[in-house]
Amino acid sequence: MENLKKYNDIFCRVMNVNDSALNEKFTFKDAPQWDSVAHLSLISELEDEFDVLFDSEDILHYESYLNGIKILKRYGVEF
Amino acid sequence: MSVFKSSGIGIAGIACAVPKNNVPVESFTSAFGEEAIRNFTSVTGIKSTYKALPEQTASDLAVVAAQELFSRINVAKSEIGAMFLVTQSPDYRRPSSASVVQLRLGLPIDCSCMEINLGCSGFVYGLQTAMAMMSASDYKYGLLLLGETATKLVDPMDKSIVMMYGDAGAAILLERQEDVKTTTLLRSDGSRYKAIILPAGGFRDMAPDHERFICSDGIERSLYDIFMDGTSVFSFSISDIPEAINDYLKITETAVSDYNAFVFHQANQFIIKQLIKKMKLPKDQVPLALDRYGNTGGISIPLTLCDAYGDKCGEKLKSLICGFGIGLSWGVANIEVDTDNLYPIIQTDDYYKEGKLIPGQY
Repeated sequence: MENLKKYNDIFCRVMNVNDSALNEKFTFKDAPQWDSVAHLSLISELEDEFDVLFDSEDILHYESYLNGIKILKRYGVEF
Repeated sequence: MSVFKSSGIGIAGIACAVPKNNVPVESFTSAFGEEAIRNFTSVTGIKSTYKALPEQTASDLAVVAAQELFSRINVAKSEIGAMFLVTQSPDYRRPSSASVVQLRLGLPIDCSCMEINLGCSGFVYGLQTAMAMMSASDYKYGLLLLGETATKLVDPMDKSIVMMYGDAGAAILLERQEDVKTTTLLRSDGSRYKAIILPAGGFRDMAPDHERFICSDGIERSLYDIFMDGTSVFSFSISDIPEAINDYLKITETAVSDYNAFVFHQANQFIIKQLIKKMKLPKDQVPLALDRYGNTGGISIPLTLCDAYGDKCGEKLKSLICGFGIGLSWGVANIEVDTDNLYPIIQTDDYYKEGKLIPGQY
C-alpha cells in the first residue's frame, strides 16, 4: 500500500490532478495534461522513487496509470 | 560499418560565441503558465537560452567564434588549407555561407571552403570530414566552424520547442599533432527524415500557404515552423544512441574507464541522465551546459567543452563525444584536447551589415 501511495503521489504531483482522477481512464491518450514533457517528468520521478531503470520500450509504452503499475511490478516493485 | 580512423591530426583550440540576448525560460510564463514552465525545466534542465538578434545569422556567430580563436592562437591564415562551415541556417539560398565566411575571415584563395548541412550530429561529422581532408593533404591547419540560429524557425507558441533551442557558433582549429589517433563511428537513417523537419522554403515546396494546422502532437503550426516528433526522437535518443556508443567501445576495444570526459549533444537533461544510467558513466565526467544555453544543435559539444573546462589549466581531456539528431543522423568519436586550448564562451551582438543585399545595389 505504501508503494501505491508513493505511485499516486507522483502522478498527482506531475499531472497536477487529485487522487480521484487516477483510474483506468487516466491514459496518455485521454489525459490532456499528459504531454511529452509530463511523460518524461513522470518516468524520471518513478525511476528515482522506486530505484529502477526502465527499458526504452517500457518508457515508450508507459501509456496509462494502470499499465504503469503492471510495468513496475515487472521491475520487482510490490503493490 | 561506417568507421573512420585518423591519425596525426589534433585539436589546437576551440572557441565559442553566443548572442548577447539572454532569454530566461521564466519569460514564457505568461504564454504557457507556471506549471508548464516548472515541468519543462525539471525534465529538460533548461533554464535559459541565448537568442540571435533579428539581424544576426549563424555565420555571424561562427565568424565571431573564429575571430576569438585567432586572437588566442597565432596562426598564419595562409597555412589554413580547408575551412568547413556546419550549419542548417545559411545566410542565403545560394551561395553557401562558407564563401562569405572565407571573405570575412580573410582566408586565402588556396583554402578550400565548403558548407555541411547537418544539425546536432554536425560536430562529429564535421570533425571527421575535416580530418579526412587534412589526411589527404599536407597543409598545416584546418578550420571547422559551426553556427546555428534554430530559434528563428520555431513558432513562438510551440511550447514543445520554443524554450528548448539556443543559438550559438563554434570554431575549432585542427593542426598536425603526433601520436593523436581518432576513431569515428557515423550513422544515418533517412527512413526517419520526417522526425524533425521544416517543410517550407526548400525546393520541394518553396512558398506554400501559411495556413496553420494541428500536428500529430496536438500543437498548431504552419509548414514554415520546425516540427519535432517528440516520441520518435526520444525513442531514437534512448535506443540508437546507447547502442552506437556500445558498438563504438567494442570497435575501439575501449572501456568507459579509458575516458575522463563524456560530452554528449545537449538535447535535454532527461536523455543525458538516461545515457549516464544505461552506460554506467561517472556523473562528474558528463558535463552539462544546456541549463544555461539550451539545445544549440551541433555546437553543443564544443560549447559544453568550453563551458565545463574553459577555465581549467593543464588538464588533458580524453573525451568520448556523441552527437545525434535531425536526419536522423548520429556519430561517436574520441577527441583529445588540453583544457588550456578551450576558451571561455563569449557573447556578441556583431553581425555582417554588408551581407544584407539591397534591391538594385548588386
